Amino acid sequence: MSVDIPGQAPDVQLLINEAKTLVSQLYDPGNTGNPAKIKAIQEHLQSLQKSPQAWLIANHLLSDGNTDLRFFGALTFTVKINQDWQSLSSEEARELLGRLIEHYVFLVNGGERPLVIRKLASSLATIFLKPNAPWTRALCNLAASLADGKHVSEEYCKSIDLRDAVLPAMSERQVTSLLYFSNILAEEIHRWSSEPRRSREEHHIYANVKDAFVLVDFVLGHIMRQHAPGIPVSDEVLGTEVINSYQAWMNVRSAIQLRDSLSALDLASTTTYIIQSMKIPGLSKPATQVVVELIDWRDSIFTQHHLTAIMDYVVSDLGTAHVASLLEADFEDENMTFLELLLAYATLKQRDLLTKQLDSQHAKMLSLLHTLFKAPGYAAVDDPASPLVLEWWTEVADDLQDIYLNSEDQTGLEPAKHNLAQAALDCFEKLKYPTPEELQGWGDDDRSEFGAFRRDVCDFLLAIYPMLGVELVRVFQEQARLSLIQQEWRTFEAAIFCIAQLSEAVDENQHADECLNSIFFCDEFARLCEGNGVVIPDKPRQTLVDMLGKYQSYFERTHALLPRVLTFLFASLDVGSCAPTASKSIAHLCKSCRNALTSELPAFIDQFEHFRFKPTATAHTMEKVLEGIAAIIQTLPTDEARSQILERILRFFHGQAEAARDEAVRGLVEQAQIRGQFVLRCVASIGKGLRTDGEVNLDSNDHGDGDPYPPTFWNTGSGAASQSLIMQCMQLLITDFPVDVTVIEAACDILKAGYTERTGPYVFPPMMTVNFVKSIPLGSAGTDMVMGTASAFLASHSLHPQRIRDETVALIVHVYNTFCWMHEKPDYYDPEVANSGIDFLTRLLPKYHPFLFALTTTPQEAGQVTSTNGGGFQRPSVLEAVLNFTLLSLQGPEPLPLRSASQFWVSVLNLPSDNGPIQNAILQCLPALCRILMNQVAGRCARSDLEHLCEVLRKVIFRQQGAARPHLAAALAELGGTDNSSQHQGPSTSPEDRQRFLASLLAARGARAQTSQLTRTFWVKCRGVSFDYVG
Amino acid sequence: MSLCQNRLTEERKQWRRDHPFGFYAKPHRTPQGTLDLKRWECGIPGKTQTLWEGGLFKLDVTFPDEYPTKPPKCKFVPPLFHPNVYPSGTVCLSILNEEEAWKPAITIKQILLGIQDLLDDPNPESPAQAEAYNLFKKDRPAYEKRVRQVVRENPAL
Repeated sequence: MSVDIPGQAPDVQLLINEAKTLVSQLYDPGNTGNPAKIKAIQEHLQSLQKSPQAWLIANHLLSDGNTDLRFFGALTFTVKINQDWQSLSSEEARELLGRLIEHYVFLVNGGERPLVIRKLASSLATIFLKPNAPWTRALCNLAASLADGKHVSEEYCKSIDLRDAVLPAMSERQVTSLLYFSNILAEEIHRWSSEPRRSREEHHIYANVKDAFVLVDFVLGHIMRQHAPGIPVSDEVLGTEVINSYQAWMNVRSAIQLRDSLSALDLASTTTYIIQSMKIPGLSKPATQVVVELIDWRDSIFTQHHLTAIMDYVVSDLGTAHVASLLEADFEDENMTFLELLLAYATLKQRDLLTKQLDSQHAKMLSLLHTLFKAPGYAAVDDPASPLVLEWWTEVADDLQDIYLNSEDQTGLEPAKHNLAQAALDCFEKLKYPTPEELQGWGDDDRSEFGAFRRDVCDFLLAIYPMLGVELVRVFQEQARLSLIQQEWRTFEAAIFCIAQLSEAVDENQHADECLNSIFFCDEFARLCEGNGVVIPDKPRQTLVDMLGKYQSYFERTHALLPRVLTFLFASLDVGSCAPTASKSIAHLCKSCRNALTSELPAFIDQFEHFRFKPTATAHTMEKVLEGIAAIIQTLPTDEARSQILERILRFFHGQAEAARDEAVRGLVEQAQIRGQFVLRCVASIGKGLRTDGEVNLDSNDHGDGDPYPPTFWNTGSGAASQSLIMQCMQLLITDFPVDVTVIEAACDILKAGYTERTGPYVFPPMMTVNFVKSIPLGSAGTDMVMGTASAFLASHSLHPQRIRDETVALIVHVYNTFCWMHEKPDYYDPEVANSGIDFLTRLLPKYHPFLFALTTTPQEAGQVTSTNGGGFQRPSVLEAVLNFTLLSLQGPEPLPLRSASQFWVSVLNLPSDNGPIQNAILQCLPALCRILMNQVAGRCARSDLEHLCEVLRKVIFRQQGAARPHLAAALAELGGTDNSSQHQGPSTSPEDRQRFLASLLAARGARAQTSQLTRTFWVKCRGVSFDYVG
Repeated sequence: MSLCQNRLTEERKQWRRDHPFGFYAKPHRTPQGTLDLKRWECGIPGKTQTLWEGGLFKLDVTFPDEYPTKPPKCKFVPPLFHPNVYPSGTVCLSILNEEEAWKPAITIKQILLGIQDLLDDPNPESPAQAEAYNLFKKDRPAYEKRVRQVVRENPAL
């Protein structure tokens, strides 16, 4: 390499000029609006930077009069060093280094801007970390060169003393520039140290770390001698740079494990300077940040003397001035950084602060930690300090809990408890919710941040509850009670919020019942519930509704309060933000306390009838309210009484169903659907509420062929009117109605409501379920739920399957028809229909399998099918078609049918082995089943299908090993055959591999872990190793 | 402290220091007030400009003793309507599967962001519940309507 310009070929000069033009274009403000042009310029410049002439270009630009060009020159050196270092001879490398140091010295002394100096420093640091770099004591060498005004040799450095000879001879500008290099070098070494390397010793890092700290110590010492505490620093740049330097080299020290060779004691005086710097305006912020980080590291860099100095500073006038600023809503960085220092130090001492006798300094610190909650403004929105202070208190509480739970003598913890209680009160003020006017000025982010703060307070309260116990609840109870009397709603809201958050700790165990009683039995609360002259704003109402929902156990055992609380909840249904929670609580309390509420029913019905026309009466809220009311109806003494009220409610919905149908006829499909959903969901939830309380008690002695639908009050007596209204609603909204998935779901719920009952308006004739299932058009969304309902129907009769034989067969034939239809017309194939049909069959196997396996003929109505070309063909028998369909699904591309078919075959193989028809069917299917399984696990199926197919394989081997073995062997033998039938690409396995696979499978005898492992390995082998997961 | 506890303590620190906006994640507090580091309660907001915007979905994350060698189990409470969420609420995602893409270096933040991505970008290759999967595949408008309803039932504010 030669960077000598004289005699250069004219083309180099051309390239230099080109680079100059391009750089000036790059920085031309006229081009900023043209990203395409900028991009083209940059690409062009990058190619120049990588060209063979780049050394010459860089060298030339660095001596140019224009700053932009010099910057680009320095950058080009870095690029070129990274690209071509290896191709330099050691002589050339030394020459390059010398040249760059010369430039550095020249530019620094010429008053160059920091931007260019830093870029050149980065080129130098790049050289230092290159293999075989001709540079050992980089910092000292650069310092000596700066001091001498020219590049001096490294040899020369060995004989001089950095601290005593070189640094004192340097100007402030030179020292600052040396620090630029020092900091960049530290960053580069830190980055380099995190990469895996051959040897850490090759770069003589240790000597440089020592030099770097000498430099820091020298500069800080110099600054300290010139500045008393409180006097602003004269050169902020130098001061900040040297503090950053301390931090950057501390990072290096810890990253390359120099803690032993460069001990805390070696660095003690430098560390002292850093701590002192916190008192100097201008340096305070960076110095404090460094101290906070070192405290957080728990690196024991601080001696006792240092810690005392930090404490002195924190509680000094200089320190507390920051707290005073925070309390005046000045949340500037300097003050927030001080807060971090206070919290970091307090964390170090947290146990002492809360459990020991305190000297005046520590007492002062503790009082600051309370005071800080008093900064003005909303936490997290205006005031960023409170969330940090709260976090500190929560950590303290968690830590104290450990001591508290493990200590027998609690007396020593009294001061701690007192402080925690105080902190709870401190942050209570911060919890108060903004007024509606203030809230209007908030964005979503503000609301979310404030919400997060309130959630954190709740966490804190739960953390201190174990130590403070009911006393804590009492504090909020007093606030709630007093503010309720004074109608001080923001305080009331905050107090109720806190009590609500503590419900987890006290609702079940009655510890706080007295406190709760004192709020809820007071006259003001009664008047609030009755709406008697007390008007509560929406937000506190919402919080109160939430709170009531969280104390369900309390209200369940305090029946006397139920009427007023439920009255309040019903009234809250009118308020949009309260309606969902209020309706949920109504449902819960009415259901769990139904027997205590019978006499309130007329009042609740009145409130319901008032509510049902309100805008908040959505399907979501109405269904909850109705579920609750229906639960109380269920407690009425006679069927007669029940049916009267039910009929009244159901007539309303019947009218709505007719209205929906009318809308559908008029083409208002969406409106009709919404109303239809509303009706059916409400009717379904009435059924849910009416269910008898407690265990379902089906008569286990009743096995005969009795009537599955005996005459009762509800189908032949005067209750029949109610049942008929329900059935008509279904009829109106299912048949010839634009059903959607929600309508179907609600209809399913109506049917299911009666399955667990012996008698009642929701116990329908069995054929109703069959007809419903058959009425759903093939391919409708929601088929899954429909077939789930069919299964629930079968399950409800599982003690006496014979009674519903006809219905069961009708359902199986329905599934058979859908399977045949999809098989014959692949365009109509619907994975949901396949999947839900197979699931239905799987679920019926345990109790109803005799019905399925007896269906060995073709049903009459489906027997003859006319094909499109006029010819007819015979469908297979039900059993044959069903089994065939499941086998096809096992090798189909759809994941869900494949899974359900796997489950189906697992269940079939589990059926009793002494049953002739079942065993015959299995043996007939076995060859196909074995062939499909082997084909699939030989790399054909998706990885996620494997575990499901594996389950079938396990069962085949466990239950049918003898019969299956030849089929498995034959299927495996066919795999590697000469044909091209196998669809997947990848290496094929050898016959030996496959034999070994089979032998191992058989030896595993269906054990889950082994079979699964063998199959996975075989699958990967067939696919090729690239399909294996890395790591 | 065990490796698992150490790592979780560190994760907690990192999360406090830096977490994506609108998310929350913290160890579960038992009714007795103590922290259970191995069970976290988290909240995942729906991404802006997607169907899921405006929702906040609660997720329970349970860490096994072998964490971080083994991945945590993530479960929506209550179970979420989504093609890749099992009826139990458990999330099916490759980075949460020990045999797939789990790596011990994956942080809680990455997991939660990964699940947030999954919300609007379901993976039809590995369905976990039939209901959402079927609707997603064959009736996209109905699927989207359902998602909007789920968002309304789980508001962020």
